Amino acid sequence: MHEVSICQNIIEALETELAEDQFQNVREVHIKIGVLSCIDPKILSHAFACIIEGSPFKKSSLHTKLIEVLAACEHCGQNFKVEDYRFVCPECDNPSSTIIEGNELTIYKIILEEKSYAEVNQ
Amino acid sequence: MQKLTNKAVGSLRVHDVSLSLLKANDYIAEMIRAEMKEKNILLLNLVSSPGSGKTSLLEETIKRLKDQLNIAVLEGDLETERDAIRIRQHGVQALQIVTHGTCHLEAQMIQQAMPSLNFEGIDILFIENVGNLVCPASYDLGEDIRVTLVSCTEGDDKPKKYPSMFLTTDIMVVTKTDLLPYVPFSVDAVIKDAHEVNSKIKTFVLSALKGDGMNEWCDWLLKKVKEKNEKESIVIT
Repeated sequence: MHEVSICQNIIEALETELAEDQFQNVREVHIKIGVLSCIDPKILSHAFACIIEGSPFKKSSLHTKLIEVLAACEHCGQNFKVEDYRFVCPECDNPSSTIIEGNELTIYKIILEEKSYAEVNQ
Repeated sequence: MQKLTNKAVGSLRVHDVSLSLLKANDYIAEMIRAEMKEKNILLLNLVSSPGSGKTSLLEETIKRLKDQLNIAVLEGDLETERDAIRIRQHGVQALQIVTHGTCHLEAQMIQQAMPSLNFEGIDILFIENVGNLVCPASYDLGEDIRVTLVSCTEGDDKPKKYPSMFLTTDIMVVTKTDLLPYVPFSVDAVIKDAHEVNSKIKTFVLSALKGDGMNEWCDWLLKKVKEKNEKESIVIT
């Protein structure tokens, strides 16, 4: 629902992480989206494409990886995949909402094109 | 003289990073949490769908507790100052945050509003979030306790339909129970579903209009304010 503001956060994160003369060399931004973050990858990618127009990041594209929900059972110690938001351990039937994965909203990889000969000589 | 580069045109470099996109919000939320701890103010974040009765619950809570507690309220809405005006009529401090379209409150908005509040003697600060059962789930506002309201007229299937909110909440308040005879809503079913999503959730069942269940809710709030004053950690039981 707030994909545009998340896109602004992506831009801010890139601006903080990279030197200004690297902005135009960003080609791919890879992000992990946990199912629990309520962010739709398709809408996010579309919003990103719109927001970078006219910016130094205009040659970059957003790549998303959806992370399923993984919880830990406090009772039997097993990790289990949460399906249909049922936070109940399939092994021992005890409830658990200790989340190991699924909350992510993280940039995990940035791919930059190295400065070309022409750029270095500008 | 041309500089030389041994980099081939078009060669790519991969940066492995871990940049959380909500880091800025979480950082500010921790600043708010620290400030509230220093001031001994219990901070509650009220979330729900629009029309679940957040403002009504606050009004009734204020009526019952204003002689015992100093209460302040931050109201979040897309537009208008109506909710803050409603709250002020009960003689407590209320400030409106108008988000102009943003679907949730962010920690930064709370931090910006805080200097405009007089915290002298305040025991409890309620934040009434924007009516939305989706986005506010992702934004920590520095609260001690997150409270999610579900009204009987909304249906008892809300915890399973909006799980991320119920997963991050400490308290579920079932509201408008005076309407239970007229709507197909099962309190047992909503509690069962909420527990399947979040086994630690604590539930209150009440009607702000008729007063049923309000004593239990108010007594619990008084207890939590006391815990905060004694600088104990807040226990959600």
